[in-house]
This record gives sequence, C-alpha cells and structure tokens, in this order.
Amino acid sequence: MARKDRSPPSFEEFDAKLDKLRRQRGAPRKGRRRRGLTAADGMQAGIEIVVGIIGGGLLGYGLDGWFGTRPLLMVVFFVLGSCAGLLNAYRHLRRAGLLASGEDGETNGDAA
Amino acid sequence: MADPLKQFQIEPYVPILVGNADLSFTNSSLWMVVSAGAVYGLVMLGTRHHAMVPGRLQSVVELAYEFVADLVRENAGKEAMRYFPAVFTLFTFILMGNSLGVIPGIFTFTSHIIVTFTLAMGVFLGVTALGFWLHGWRFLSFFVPPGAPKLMIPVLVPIEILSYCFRPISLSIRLFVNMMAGHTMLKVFAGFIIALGIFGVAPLAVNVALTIFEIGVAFLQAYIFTVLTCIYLHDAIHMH
Repeated sequence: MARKDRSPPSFEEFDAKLDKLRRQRGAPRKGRRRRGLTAADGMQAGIEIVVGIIGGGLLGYGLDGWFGTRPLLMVVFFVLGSCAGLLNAYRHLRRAGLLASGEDGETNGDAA
Repeated sequence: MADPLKQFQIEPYVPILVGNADLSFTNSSLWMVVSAGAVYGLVMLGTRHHAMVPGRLQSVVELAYEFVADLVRENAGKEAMRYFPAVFTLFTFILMGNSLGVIPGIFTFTSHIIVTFTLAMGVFLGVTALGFWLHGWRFLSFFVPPGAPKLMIPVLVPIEILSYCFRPISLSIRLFVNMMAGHTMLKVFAGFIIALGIFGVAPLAVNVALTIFEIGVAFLQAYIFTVLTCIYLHDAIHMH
C-alpha cells in the first residue's frame, strides 16, 4: 500500500500549531525571572533610590540657583526626586517578580 | 605600592584640538576602536561561510544573535525587532569593552562615567525620540499613570517625569560603578601580593577569584544594560 506523500508543513502552519499548543500549555517564561531575585536586582533598586534622592536634591539646588528661590525648590525637588527614585525601584522589583502584581511580574508585551 | 586609581587615567595618544574642544585620540578611544573592531571582525569572520550546520565561530555568532534576539523579543515585544541591530551593537560593544578590560594592562573604557553616561543618554534620547515619533504628542500621556485619581495628577506627573529622566543616570552609574570598583579592587589586592612576601599567596588567591568574578560581572552588566534598554524601548513603543 503506497503511503500518502505529505509535504512538510509550511512555516506559517507550523507557527500556528506551535502558538496554539503554547497557549494551551502555558508557555514557561524564559529569562532570569525564573531564577528569582539576584544581587544585581538589589543593586539596581538601591542605585535607583540613591540616584532619585541625590538627583532630586541636586536638580532642586540647581533650579534654585537659576530662579533664586532658595531653599523652596530644593525641598520640593528633593521630595519629588525621592518619590521618583522609589517609584523606579518599585517598578524594577515588581518586574523582577518580587512584589506580587497579580501575575508573574509585569506583562512583557510579547505578542505570542 | 601601586596607586589603584592610576589605571583610570586618560592618556592622549594623538592630541587633536578643535578650537577649545579637546578631541584627542586617547587610550579610551583606542580601546573603543579595538572593541568595535573585534566585534565586527568576530561577526564577519563567523558568518563568512554561511554554513547551514555552523562551525565553531559561526556558532558563537549565532549564540550571541539568538541571545540578544530573545532579549529583545521578550522584553520589548516582537515589533521591537526593527531596533535589534542597535540593541545588538550596544550589547556586544559593552560586553567586548568590559571583557577586554579584565585582561591586565588593557584599559577599560566603560570604567569612566562620561562613557557610560553617553551610552545611556544615547539610549534615553533615542527611545524618547522614538516615542514621540511613533505616538506624536500622545506620548506625553505616558506620564499619566492609568487609573490615577484626577486630583493627584498634578503631583503624579512631575514624579513620573522625574523618574523617567533619572533612568539614564541610574543606567550609566550602575555600569560605571561595577567596572570601576572591580578594577580598583583588583589593583588594591595586586598591590598587596608583593608587599606581603611569602604570605602574598593570600591576595593572589583573592585576585584569581576576583578576576573570575569580574568576567561574570562584565557579562552581567552588559546584559543588564541591554535588558533595561529593551524595557525602555517597550515603554516607548507600547506606552505602559
């Protein structure tokens, strides 16, 4: 009995099948998130906080010199800068999977 | 005893003065050229034969390509593959620069804040320009976090803008600090080796361990720089 000659599936068909199977099985997310928090994440968060605090203070100090409103702007930007630094650190840690956000870190926008 | 900070000194090899600007070709410039040339040579030599079953060198190039491509696709999305050449260049340039610096006697150009800051500003300005180009003025709505109560917006928007502007600073400082601290430690322990005589084997062992650690740090810092670049790219393209 002659076997039916099946040509290999085209790339599109293969991609479609792969996508469907992936969605069904829940594709394991690659990347360093699987390995948990590393020292680099901690350092990143620390640097963000310090940069925020110092950067905010320096920015306020510089703007104060420009507008002559010493020390008002320096205080305002110190506060804003520290908030910004903490916000950055929070976002990095959330992305690294430390803080729960309902799912496994923030969605990374991959279309698959 | 060796001065641990002398290794970071800039030596102008070919003095070039344009008006008041000092554009000399320095040791930093030399090793940047060597880095870029090494990456270029590696990629060109590796892909010379276009073999379907890759040989050793082609495997290395393919490994690097796949690694960065996965990074971009996972962190910035499939549409961001248009910017893959820029990200690949950034990654390999920083990686080659960091790695070459581990070799004793070679200048580590990434251990200067001005170099890392320029790289980070390049990324920051490029990604911001991309955001405006793709979304027009609507890109500014990126600074209004979704679901924020209306009254809080005048407080939240400056914070968001500041946090956005602090990104290149933290990006550059991390790479700079890692490289400078690592090399300073290597130099300090190396200085102890001769000074301690027979007990110099202890700092020697520490230096061996530190060198291995520095090779890891070279790769890790290049990786982190590139991952964050991809994340900022994702923010510019998708605005959330």
